[in-house]
Amino acid sequence: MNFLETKNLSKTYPNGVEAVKSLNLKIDKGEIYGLIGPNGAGKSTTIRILMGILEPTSGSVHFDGRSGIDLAKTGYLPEGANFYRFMTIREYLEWSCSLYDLPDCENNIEESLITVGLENLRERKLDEISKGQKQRVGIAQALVHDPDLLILDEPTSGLDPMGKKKILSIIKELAGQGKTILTSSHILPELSQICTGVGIIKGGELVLQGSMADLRKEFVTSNVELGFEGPADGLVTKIEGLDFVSEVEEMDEEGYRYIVRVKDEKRAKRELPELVLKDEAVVTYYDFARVTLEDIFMETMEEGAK
Amino acid sequence: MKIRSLLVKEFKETRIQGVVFAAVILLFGATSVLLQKFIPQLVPENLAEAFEPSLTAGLADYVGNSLQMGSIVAILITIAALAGERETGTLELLLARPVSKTQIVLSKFFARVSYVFLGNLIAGLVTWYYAVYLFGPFPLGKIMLAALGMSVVISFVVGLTMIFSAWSRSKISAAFGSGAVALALAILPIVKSPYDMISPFTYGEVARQSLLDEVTVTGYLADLGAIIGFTAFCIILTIIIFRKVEKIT
Repeated sequence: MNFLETKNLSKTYPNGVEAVKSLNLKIDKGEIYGLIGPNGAGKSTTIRILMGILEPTSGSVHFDGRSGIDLAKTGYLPEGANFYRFMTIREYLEWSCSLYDLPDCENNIEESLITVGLENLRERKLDEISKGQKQRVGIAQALVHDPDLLILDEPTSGLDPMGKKKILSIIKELAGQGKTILTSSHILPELSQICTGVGIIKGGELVLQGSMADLRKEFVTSNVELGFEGPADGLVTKIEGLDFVSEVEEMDEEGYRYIVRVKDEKRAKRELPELVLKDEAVVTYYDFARVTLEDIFMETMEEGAK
Repeated sequence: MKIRSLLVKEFKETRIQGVVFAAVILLFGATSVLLQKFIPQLVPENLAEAFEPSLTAGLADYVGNSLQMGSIVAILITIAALAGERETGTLELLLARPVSKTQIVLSKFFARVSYVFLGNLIAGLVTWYYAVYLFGPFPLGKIMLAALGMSVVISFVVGLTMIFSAWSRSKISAAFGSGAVALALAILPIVKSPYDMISPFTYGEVARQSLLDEVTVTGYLADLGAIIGFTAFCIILTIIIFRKVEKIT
């Protein structure tokens, strides 16, 4: 049994839009799970259903072996979160904590403020802080009751590079404390830095799911980009015949540039340059790159489009 | 504990609206007695004879003005209750807390109603002070009964507006919806419609009657009970709509 799981979760809005279709998410305890998808893919709808804010048309949510989410054990940061502007950061956290019937909120508030680095701004009014600080308040309020699960919808949205870096490092630190984190984004390089598990969602459907390690194994591990001065059909045929090569794709109409998708990175590094150098074709470009989460995402999206 | 936290937040958030409500009630309600006394001195001499200062008329104006202006301000202080939180995006986080939608609705309603009662109490006391000062002795209890009656009627307007605030995506549509229905209900007793018993404003007449000894204790309590019943219906409807709307869209 997974820590957080959905079974055939579907949502059709009253206007007929099918935002989520038979979604089966599986998230293990302690995992940082990235829910990735383009804008309008159904990420926020899924998250709102998980939080019990939205009712699914069909399907169910299971949390820690029980049906439905336990809000007392879950922290939530919605996309573009807004807070009560008449409160200070401290007042807002105190108020948030008081809604969980905890015996002592003081320590929790202090720890949350330290985790997000806002301990010196506690008396600042919520309408006087920057967007980055606001996102950190959002994480602090999600943490204030010491939840087991954190659900963060686009936590880095609209932040500058420094702000994004800070939020990502906070998420990593929280995972280190044993918290399970579900975060969504359409900015892939960010999630690839921190996620241990990934679900790719497109048109409301989960098109791919697994741990980062499994996805790398399942997909090609590396890309080699090759460029030639003239036609190199003979060499390309030889490359296509290699057992560690999954695909050779033409990059331009002339057929002088190719992307070689390889399954075994070590062998490709060793054997491919050797083969290319032995051939008569003149090589003008050779670049080796590991497959990123973005490559997997793009590949999945293209497959869906086909 | 949770409902207390929700109430404290609502009191803090709406304290300025509460002051505005009290100020408006005070201005338009309590000054009715003052105007009644001093209008003959403010108008040209040839017209002054037409104005015979009367405490009864002044108190009737106090009830009428307080009810009209209080109802308008009550709509304005209530439209944002749920629609405003939806507009600013704070509702999403509130719904993610372990609090029920019933608790959310009740805290918003009771915070606003508290300001309505407080505003009417202050305006009632000031009105009584000027009534005694300008016209001679008058029982405080009667004015307090009228203030209580008005508070109950205006609380119904708060409840009615809550329905539209729960339903609407914006404060403006909530204001138009509740304003239109409140106006329609207020007109029924004025035009002596045969259906006026479905309007809480019909029973609101008890506020004025209590000032002029035109109602019995039983009649007063029965009419107040009727308005409270209408208000309770509004709140139940608000909870049902709020639950439905938030779960679907």
